[in-house]
Amino acid sequence: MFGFDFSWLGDPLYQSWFMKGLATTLLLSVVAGILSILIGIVGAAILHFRTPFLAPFTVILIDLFRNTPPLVQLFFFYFMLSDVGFSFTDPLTGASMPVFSGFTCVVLSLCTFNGAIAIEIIRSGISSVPSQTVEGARSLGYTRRQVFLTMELPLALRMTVPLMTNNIVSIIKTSAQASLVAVTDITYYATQAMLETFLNIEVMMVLWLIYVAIATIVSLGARAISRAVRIPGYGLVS
Amino acid sequence: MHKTFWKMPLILATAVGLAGVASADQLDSVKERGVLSIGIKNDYRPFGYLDENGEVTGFEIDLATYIGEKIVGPEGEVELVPVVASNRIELLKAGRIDLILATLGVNEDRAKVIDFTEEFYNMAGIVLMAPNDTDLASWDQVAGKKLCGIQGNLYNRALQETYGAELMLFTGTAEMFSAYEDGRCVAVAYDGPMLNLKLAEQGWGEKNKIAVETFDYIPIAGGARKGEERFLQAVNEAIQSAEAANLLVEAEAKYSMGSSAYVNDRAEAARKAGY
Repeated sequence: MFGFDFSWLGDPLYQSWFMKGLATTLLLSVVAGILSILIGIVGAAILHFRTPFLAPFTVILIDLFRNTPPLVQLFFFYFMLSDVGFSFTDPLTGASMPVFSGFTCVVLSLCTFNGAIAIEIIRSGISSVPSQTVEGARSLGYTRRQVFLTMELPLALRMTVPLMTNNIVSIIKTSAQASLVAVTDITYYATQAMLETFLNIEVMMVLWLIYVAIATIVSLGARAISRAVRIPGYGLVS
Repeated sequence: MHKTFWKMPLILATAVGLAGVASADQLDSVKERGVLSIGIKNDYRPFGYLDENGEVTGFEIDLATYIGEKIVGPEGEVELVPVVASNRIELLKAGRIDLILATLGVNEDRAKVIDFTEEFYNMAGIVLMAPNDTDLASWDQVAGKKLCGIQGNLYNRALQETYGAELMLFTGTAEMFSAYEDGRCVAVAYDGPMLNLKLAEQGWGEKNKIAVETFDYIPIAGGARKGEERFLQAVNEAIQSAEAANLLVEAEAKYSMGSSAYVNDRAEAARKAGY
């Protein structure tokens, strides 16, 4: 087909590389995705309640992490933290080791960047909860905490499913930078395969398809969730 | 400027592709011009590097000068063109250089696009650099150990499959050395010449050593355009003549590369063959 050579796909070694890489990419995305949503909820709550000390601190962190490239953050976590003392001595070998493994550093960089964005997404959801609803709940005797936990937060999460989906898809795509710090994700193995087979275009095409497939599955899943939790009268029916 | 620079070889390649088949053979045209262009390295001690006066010098430079003199004669000119690993074969195919003498390792994939000359050196492939107090003393001990390396190195696969090492591969040497310094891996597995050079740097030689020598050597040869039989023949004769004259044996001593049996044996064989 068009002179492309896909025979390498039949090689069990490359198959096992792609499966292992896919597993790492999915694990990275799931862990970072869940953490970023948790960060989003906690951060939005801190900002919503204007918690003393924590709120201004959170604002600074959001600006810091949202406005720097995730790759720069990753290199900072991976190469710099151990230089400034984040390392421990292995009792078995006596060697000095960094506290954070490559995998942890990638998860950290993904969930700081996308977590900062998640905070803003959930905050936007909270602010779009109608004030009548909140006031109605308050007049029925709900405390601010109860209002937040039973109305504002659930409604905000339901309304922001499409935005949060974008954020998760962004995590999946950004996870490709793991390959730059020797974490064996799918891009890492694809690079290896390219260097061995010299079939750059073919390997790249397979890599593309895999990312498109993951992102599509996530989007479809999110659309189903979005439809199931839709608030009647709000948002577009899709 | 970059654009023009990269277009030039393309235009030349097209010209060569169209006209080259019919035109005179390479050896004749080189002799006619009186200029032999050789692609060399100028950043890879001891094969080709700049000395303190900024003059290019080294093992392969001595050989290049000798071959040039043999082919275009003492009144001819040898043009030394600095190349890097990623562009040398393109420059050769495009006709910008006539010959590659730039730490070119012989392998099958390259043989599909260029012709190799006689092999004249055996370079240590991958070696292992580790801290002075390391337990590692042979390749059999690296199983399950974390080793830092570079993506695309010829030996990564053998290290993983034959020796069972756990490789952490980076794109650049700076990241590789940084990760090693931070303790993310117990040793660095990379090209012998490069690691020896790193050990010569201040702060590295005191703490680290070459813990395990290479399990494999890569033959180094020159590279010529495919199908130029007479040119290749002339270069091969010049290489063997250089070997017979002990030029490479002396070059090994001159550039402190130690004395290898390989180079000595080849010199002996060349003399026996009557060069």
